[in-house]
Amino acid sequence: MIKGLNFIILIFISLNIFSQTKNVEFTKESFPNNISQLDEALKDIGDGDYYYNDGIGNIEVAISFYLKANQFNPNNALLNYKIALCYLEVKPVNQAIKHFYIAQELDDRVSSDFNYNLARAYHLSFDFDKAVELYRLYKRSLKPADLTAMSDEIDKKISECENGKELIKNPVRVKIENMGSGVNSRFPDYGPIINSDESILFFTSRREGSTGEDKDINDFEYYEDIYYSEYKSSYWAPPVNIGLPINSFTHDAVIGMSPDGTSILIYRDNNGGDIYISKLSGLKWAKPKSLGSPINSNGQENSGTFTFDGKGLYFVSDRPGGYGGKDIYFSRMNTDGKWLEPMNLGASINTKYNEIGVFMLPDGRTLYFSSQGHKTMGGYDIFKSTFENGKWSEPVNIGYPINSADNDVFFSISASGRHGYYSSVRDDGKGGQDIYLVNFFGPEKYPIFNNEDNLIASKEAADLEVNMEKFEKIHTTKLTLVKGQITDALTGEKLLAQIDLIDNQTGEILATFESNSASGKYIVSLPSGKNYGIAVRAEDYLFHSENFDIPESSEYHEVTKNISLKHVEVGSEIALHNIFFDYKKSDLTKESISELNRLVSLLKQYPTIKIEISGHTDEIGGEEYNQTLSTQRAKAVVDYLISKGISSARLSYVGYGFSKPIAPNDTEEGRQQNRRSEFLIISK
Amino acid sequence: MRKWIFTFILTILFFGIMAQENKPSEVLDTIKTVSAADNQTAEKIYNQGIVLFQQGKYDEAIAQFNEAIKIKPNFAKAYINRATSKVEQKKYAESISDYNMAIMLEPSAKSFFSRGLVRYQMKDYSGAISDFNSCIKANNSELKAPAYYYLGCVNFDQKNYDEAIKFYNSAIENKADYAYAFNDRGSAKKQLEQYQEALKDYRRAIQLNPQMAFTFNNMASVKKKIGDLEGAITDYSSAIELKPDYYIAYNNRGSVYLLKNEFDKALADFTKAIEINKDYAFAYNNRGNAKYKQKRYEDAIKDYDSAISIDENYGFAYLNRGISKEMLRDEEGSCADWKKAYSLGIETAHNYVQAQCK
Repeated sequence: MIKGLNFIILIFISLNIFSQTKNVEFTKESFPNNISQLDEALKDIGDGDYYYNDGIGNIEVAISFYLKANQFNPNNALLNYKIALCYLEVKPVNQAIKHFYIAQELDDRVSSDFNYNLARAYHLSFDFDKAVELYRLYKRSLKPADLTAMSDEIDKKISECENGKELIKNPVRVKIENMGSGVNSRFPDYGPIINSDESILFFTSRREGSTGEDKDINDFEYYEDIYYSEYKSSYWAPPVNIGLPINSFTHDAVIGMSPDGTSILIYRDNNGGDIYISKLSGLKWAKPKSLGSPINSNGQENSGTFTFDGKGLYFVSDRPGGYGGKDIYFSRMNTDGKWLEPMNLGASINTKYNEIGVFMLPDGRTLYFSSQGHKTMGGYDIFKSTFENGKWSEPVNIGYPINSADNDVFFSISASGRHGYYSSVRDDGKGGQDIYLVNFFGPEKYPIFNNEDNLIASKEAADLEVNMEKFEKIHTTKLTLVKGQITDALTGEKLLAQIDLIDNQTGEILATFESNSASGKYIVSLPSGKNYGIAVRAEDYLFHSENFDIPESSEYHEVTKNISLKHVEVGSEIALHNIFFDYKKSDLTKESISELNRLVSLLKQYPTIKIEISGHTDEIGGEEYNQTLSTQRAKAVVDYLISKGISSARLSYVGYGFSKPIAPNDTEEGRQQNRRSEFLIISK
Repeated sequence: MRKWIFTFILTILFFGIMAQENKPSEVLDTIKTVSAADNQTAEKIYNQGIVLFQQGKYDEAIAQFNEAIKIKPNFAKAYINRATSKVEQKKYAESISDYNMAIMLEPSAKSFFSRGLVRYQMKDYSGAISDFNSCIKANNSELKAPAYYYLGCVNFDQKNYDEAIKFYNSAIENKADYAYAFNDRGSAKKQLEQYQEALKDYRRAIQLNPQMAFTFNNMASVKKKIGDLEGAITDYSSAIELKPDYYIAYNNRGSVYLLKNEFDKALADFTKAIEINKDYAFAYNNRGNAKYKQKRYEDAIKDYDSAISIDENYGFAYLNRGISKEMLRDEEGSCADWKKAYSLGIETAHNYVQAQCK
């Protein structure tokens, strides 16, 4: 607000820089062609001056005349100055400041009081620094005689501004609300008195329609009347004039209420201003009665508040013997119901300035009052003092924004303690003084923020780092499947045969099973990592041997091996696949034992047969070399058989080298097949 | 060797069924004899369990591990994996009994470590400590540093920050690039109000792993504490850049903006936090506070209402709502909120009630 005001002024000043104008007097010389209008304007100024001098009640009227004249001639310094002074009284203050600057622009010596009044305008606008500067400027400009007269007043203004600067720094936590057009009018409304449950508000108003409809010639405002308004769940009902016999043709103001709410204290003009009381009986207010002496004096008594028990009364009086102006007094009622001689509350409360608008809290020791003294920031401010240890504490300004640089008076607090009511002149006013509601908040509170961090890193990981165990190795997943059909070599008849599965490494028979007697089919699964011998046996047939050397690394595969068995007959020839020799040598390896023993069994089962063992090689190496090797290897087999008790007469051997291949020699697989031992039945 | 042969025989018999369709009774009889012996049925079922686990089908995986354990009651790995599946389902207590069994059968550093983690998760701190110590004793080079690290975490959770720092030190001694341990040690130092030391550790953690958004967040919060608001905003922003849905960092940054009276930015951050996580009561509460500071009391109350509807036991939200209601001169409402806040353990609220409520 204050900033905004400065801004307006700034714009205004700059406008004037560009349109430097001179003071234009209301004279025929200035308006030679407009004599009649000039006359009119001069008359308006005269009327304005007349109403201005009436006092506050007619200042609005004065303004309307001045503005008319100003319209005719906006460039007269004195007229603008007068307009500014009007606005200083009835507000808004920013209008006052605007016209002060216009006046100054036109004539910077428009008035010797210029700085003083402009200072007051800034003072009221809470621009305390500027106000102090101007007050000081004004003080320096005074002649010695004037300085003596004005010095105290100016110094007080300056200290008020200093108070204001302090107070505005620490605003009190309240929300101030205009009581609204239900209560306030464009005329002065003040002196709110609230009952304990805040359902009825009594107040004083100088509005139109007052009893007698007459104005006080001192200020040209209507005489005071008492009104009340009732609270209707969400709003204050339009105020009702409390009427006769309380309101009279002159001043009647409500100033207090008994603790039980059944009596009100009234101010009346009589006898210099006295306090009266009226009791409510039923729906009727009794005729007000003066509290009489010693409460009332020849001076003015104009505010009062009962103690909680109704037996004590704090009141305001300007009777002689005080500290100056109006002071606060206290009187107690004796047992006969008579008021005792009032006591001045003393120097801690009362100052040489006025103290008015007294209000005592139901706690019996907290006093609120308005004062022009103490640490006011301007006009009347509201103060609070508590009675402790037999004395009144130093009054404390109840603070900004309740108090302003203007008059803040008639403060009272509801029984709940949550609301205050008082009269003030504020920007949102309806005109004149208005009644305001003060909502007290508790001490300032700071809402709590909630924040969090992710302090522990592992908690940010999506899962716990628990260990999963790995897959188990399933050995059977890698096998070689050998399947086929076992048939008679000659007839092709499907045969039921025993199949021995031998671990050649150990010679152990791992398993023996049979082919299907109907289909002759068999399946053998051979897990990787072994050298297997398979021997197929059937009654009256020669055994058949197969070798499968399956390394650990070999993957699943299937081999179809159809086996045809031969009868034990002359000319039958069998490859001995499970007979092994050391590399390039004729030494039998131990893997051969199993097969050799089968051969031994066969020869024992058929004791008459004679056989020839033949050795065969692949093509690697020379012919002679292979011939010799094959012969030696065949001999080694025969030697083994002899060592197992087979007659040498039944055995012969021959080496064929690579002359009888059974597979091409160009692959390792083929060469392996060609490296073999065979036996042939030569007689039975 | 013997085990191997039994397996082998089973295989043969299996194919024997195919080969000898006309002699079923004989074959069946033989199979019975063989299946009582050790074989790989349990292992196969166990392996299927792992496959199901990897597909996130935990119930089905558990069923497989159950079956494997039924066939092979001393199958330690099956217990471990069943435990792991239960951990995934947050059935911690059940997982513990599986770990107990696994440890009884085959005690290992891994099992101790895992059980320690679950116990830590269940806030069974003494149990967790004993497991991590057993894990360290087992001298598994990979698990030693993590076990020390978690001993740090266990102590951190119990607010034994000095102890925690010692364990984080050991974790770092065993693994010099252990970014988590640096982060956590920084946090422990933060709790001990050793802010400069904390910042050092956080910086190291970020050097080791520049992707750790939460470390940026933590670092920012330390900077906020020491009044480096600009630094805090920079770091919260880095956290958000790394993890665009990091609503916690948005909420935190908003609070710093508010300290700087940058209302628009603060409100935007709180709102963003709410957009990401509509159930984030803190962000509603803080946005309410921002609006309170703007004297937008009605709007603030709406946010507190939201916070309370998310968490009806959110004491601070009641406290704060009461403060805004006071400013709207809703005396009954503010007193009711403060009373509720006090009943939820907010001491400040009690002061307000005593001072201002009948």
